[in-house]
Amino acid sequence: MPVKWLLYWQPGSAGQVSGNILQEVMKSIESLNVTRGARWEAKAAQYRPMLRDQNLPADFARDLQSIFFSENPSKFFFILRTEHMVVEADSNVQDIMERLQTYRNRLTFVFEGYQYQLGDFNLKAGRAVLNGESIRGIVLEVEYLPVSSIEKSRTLLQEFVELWQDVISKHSLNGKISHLEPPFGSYLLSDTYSWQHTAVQYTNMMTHFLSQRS
Amino acid sequence: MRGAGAEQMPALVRSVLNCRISNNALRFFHSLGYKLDHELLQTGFKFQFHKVVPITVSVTSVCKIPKLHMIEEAVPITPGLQLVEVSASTSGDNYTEVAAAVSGLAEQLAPLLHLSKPGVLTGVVPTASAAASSLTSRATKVP
Repeated sequence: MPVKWLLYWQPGSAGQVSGNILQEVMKSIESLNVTRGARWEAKAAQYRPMLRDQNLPADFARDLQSIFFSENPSKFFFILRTEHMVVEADSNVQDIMERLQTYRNRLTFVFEGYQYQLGDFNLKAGRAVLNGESIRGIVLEVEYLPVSSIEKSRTLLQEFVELWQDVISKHSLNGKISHLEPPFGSYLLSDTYSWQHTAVQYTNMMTHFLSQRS
Repeated sequence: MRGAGAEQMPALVRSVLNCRISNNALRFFHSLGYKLDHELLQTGFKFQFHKVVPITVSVTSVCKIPKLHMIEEAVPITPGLQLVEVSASTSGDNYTEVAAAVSGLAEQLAPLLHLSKPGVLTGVVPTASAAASSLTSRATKVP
């Protein structure tokens, strides 16, 4: 599977993310010789345990997260951040979790936007919306199609991001593209990129946005 | 399925959810607060029939595992006896037909063994030994 980097828009001083900024970012992408593709969506969720007996000692994870990608609808991913665990399952695992009634959805993050193709690169630009209400961030994803090795693609992707930053700067946007280094090593994920790597990146981004003030 | 309707059905009808999951599933559920209760080893054979609907018959030996994950030390729960299960998939609108097909296959196997719903004890069929011998001798006579 090709390597993906998930990036986010860091506003300049006193700036905030908004739908207008996303529009400008998308215009900057479309000013390159890109082919616009379909819409994309990823849904992430954070859960809280349903405690049946408050007096019983709590010996279970409190940081359960999940993510579902519209591009990969047959799969569903769970993340346990403290345990550094990523679990991949068929998408009907949601039915099982629903019947077990041990965890309840606490909040939902939807990442959604448009995708583009530019030669060997697939680009995505979109917004991250919390509970269907407020935009908490703008995300950008770049996928380099020929390479599956994370280390071998690092330099090239870094150069691409710098070029992308130059293009965006010409559109007078106050801010920059930032890369949140994902903790693949702590999750014991290999150098060969996979959907589990993508799941870790997106849930890591959700946690980052939640930690920022709205 | 529960209630009077379920009791009248010739076979047990229940919901089944099959889901593939990565090999850290046990650690995952343990982290969610579940504790391992027991593990079993089931070995044997599965046969596929088509009688109105696709039907699976499994003949297995069920073994308990005294030490966690040590399948080499598995011990049969009922030495000399095996578990025969007949099952078929169904949707919500044709389960009556499927239950009847499963029941029909069970009747065909009646000379060899009694098949019943889980929880209903049956015992060994008196004609089982003779029926098995008859089948075996027919099989050896085939050129």
